[in-house]
Amino acid sequence: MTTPARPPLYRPDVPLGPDVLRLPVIGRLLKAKRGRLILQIPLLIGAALLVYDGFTGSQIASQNLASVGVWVHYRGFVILALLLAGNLFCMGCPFTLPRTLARRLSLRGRRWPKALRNKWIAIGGLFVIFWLYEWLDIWASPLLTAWLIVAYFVGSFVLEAVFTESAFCKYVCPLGAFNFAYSTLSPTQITARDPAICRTCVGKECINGSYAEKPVILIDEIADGVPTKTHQHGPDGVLGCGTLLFVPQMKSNMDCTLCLDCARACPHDNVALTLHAPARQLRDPAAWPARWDVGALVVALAFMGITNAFGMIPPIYALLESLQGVLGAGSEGISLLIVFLIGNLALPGIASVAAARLALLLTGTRAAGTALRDTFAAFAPAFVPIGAGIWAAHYGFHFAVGALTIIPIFHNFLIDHGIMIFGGSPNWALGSLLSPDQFAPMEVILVIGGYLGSMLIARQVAARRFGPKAQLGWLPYALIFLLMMLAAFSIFSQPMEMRGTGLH
Amino acid sequence: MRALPVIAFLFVFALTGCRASQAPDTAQDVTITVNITETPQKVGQFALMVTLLDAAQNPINGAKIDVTGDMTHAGMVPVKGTAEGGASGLYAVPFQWTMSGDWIVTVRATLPDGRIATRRFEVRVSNP
Repeated sequence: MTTPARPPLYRPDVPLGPDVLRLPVIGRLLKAKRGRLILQIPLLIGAALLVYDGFTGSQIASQNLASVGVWVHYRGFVILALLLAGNLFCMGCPFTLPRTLARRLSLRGRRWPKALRNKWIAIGGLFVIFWLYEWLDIWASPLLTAWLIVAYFVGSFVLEAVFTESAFCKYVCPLGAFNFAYSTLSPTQITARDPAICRTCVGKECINGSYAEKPVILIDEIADGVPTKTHQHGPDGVLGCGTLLFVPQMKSNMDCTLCLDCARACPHDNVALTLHAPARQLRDPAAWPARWDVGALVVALAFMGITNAFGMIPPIYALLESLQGVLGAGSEGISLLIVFLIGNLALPGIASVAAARLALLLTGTRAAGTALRDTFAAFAPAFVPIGAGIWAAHYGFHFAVGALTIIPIFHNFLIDHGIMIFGGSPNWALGSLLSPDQFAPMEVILVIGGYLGSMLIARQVAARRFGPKAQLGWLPYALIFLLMMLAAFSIFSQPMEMRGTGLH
Repeated sequence: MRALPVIAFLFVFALTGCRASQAPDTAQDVTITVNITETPQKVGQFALMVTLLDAAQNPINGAKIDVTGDMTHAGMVPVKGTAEGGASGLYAVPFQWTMSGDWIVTVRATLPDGRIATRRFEVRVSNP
C-alpha cells in the first residue's frame, strides 16, 4: 500500500476554471454585500408562508402549501441544484437570517465542544428525521411539517446565539449534512485565485471576517519601510466563514454553505467560485479527510436513500406487520426503528467496514494501525454518486409527478384570503410535469448513472491504494454497489404507494 | 433592508386574521355514507355510491354531491366527481382511484334547502 503524501498547507497552484464571481451581472450580484438576501428573502417569505399554511390551512397534505412546498418542491429543487450548480439551498437558507440576529445577541467566545466537532450528530439527526418522517408520516401532515420548519429556525437561532461559529450548519443541520455530502458532486467550488496572495495575507479575512467595531488598517507587506498594501476593517465589514473554512485550504465543498462571505471579506478579491467537471472532488484523494465520521455520513446517506424509497412501496406493510406480530400491536414506531436501525445504520456500517477489511485482506495489505480507517475513508466518496442517483430518482419522481399541484393550491390559498386576481376556481387538474411511466426511464438513467459513477471512482481509489492488486481491492465495493443498484431497481420497479397517518 | 425579514413575517402572520374559514357544515344531522369504506378498493374507475339520509333516516333527493379524493401524500392530483338528483337518497358519482395508497375522500352535499353537509372518509386502495 502506498501512503499518500501529506497535502501542502496551501492548495498548490492549479489551473482554475471559469470564475462565476467574475461574470458580468451574476458575479456582481453574488458578491454584493446583501447578495445572499436575493435568495434568502424569497426563501424566508416562502418558509413563512409554509409555516402559516401548515398551521392554519387544510390538513390534507395535497391541499397544503407546507406539505407540497417541502416534500415535493424543496426536495426536488435541492437535488437538482446540487447536481447542476452547487449548494444553492444552503446559500439561500432562510434559517440563517434569524441566526444573524442571534449573533448580535450572542454571548460570543464559546466554541462548539471539541468532542462534537464531527459529523456524528448530523448522522444521528438524519437518522431521527427519516425515522420520524416515516413513523409520524410527517409528509402527510402539514401541521408537523410546519413544526419541523419552526424547529429548524429555533435550532439555528439557539445554537448561533450560544456558540461563535455556525455550529448548527456545520455539525447539526441534517439538511446541511445532506447538501454538504452531495455538493461534492457539484460543478462549482470556492477556491483561491492565487494561493500566493493568501500566504502573505495578514488579516485572513476570508475566515476572520472584515468586521471590526472600530476602523483598523491592516498592512500586508512593508517593502523598504513603506507599506505597500493596506486595507481597512470597520463596522461595514462582513463576518468570515461561519463554518471556519480557510479558502486556500479548501479542497472540496464539504462544510461550505456557499454563503460567499469569504469572497465579500477578502480585501484582495482573491476568492473565486470556479466551475469544474462534476464529481472532480470525488476523484481528488486530498479532498477527503481520513475520518470515520465524514465517511460514515456519505455511506449512510446512500443507504438511507434506499430505505427512504423502500418506505413508499407495498412490501414495507408486510415487513412492519410481521414485526408488529412479534412486538405486539401499536408498536409501529419500534418496528420502524428496527427497520431503520438495520437499513440506515447497521447495514451501511457493516457493509462499508467489511468491504474495507476485505479489500485489505484480498490485496494482502497489512491491516495495522489506521489502515482500516484510511481504506474506509478513501472509498467513502465512491458512495456519493450512487446515493445521489437514488435520491434524485426518488425526489425527482415526486417532483415530476406533483410539480404543478402547487399552482391550484396557491390559487386556493389566495381565494381563501379573498384575493381573486386569478379567478375563483383553481384548476385542480394541474399536477404532473411527467407521468410516473414517463419518468421511469429517468429513474433508470439516474440509478445506473450513479452506479457507474461509484464503480469508476472506487476503481480509481483501488488503483491508487492497491496498485497492481487494484482489481481485488475494488471487488468488495463493486459487489456492494451492484447490490445497492439492484435494491434500488427492485424498489423503483414496484408500484409506489402513498401512505398516510390517518389510516394506521 | 434589515427590517425586511421582520416585515415579511409580520405580513404573513397578519394574514391569519384574513383567512376565510372552510364552508361550514350546516347540516350535521344529515347522515352520509359511501360504499368504499367496507370493501377493499382497487385502482381503477368505478361508481362511488353516496347515500344521504336526514335526521329521521329518510332519504334525501335533489341534492348536489361533490366528491374529492386526495392522496395523503403531497403532490398528487386530487380526483373529483359530482352527481345530482339522486333516487331514494342514493347518488352514483363517477370516480377513479388513480394510485394505490391511502386516500382521504371528502363528500360535500349541497342539500335542496341550501344547507351543506360535509363528511370525510379514509380509504386504503391497492393495486388490482
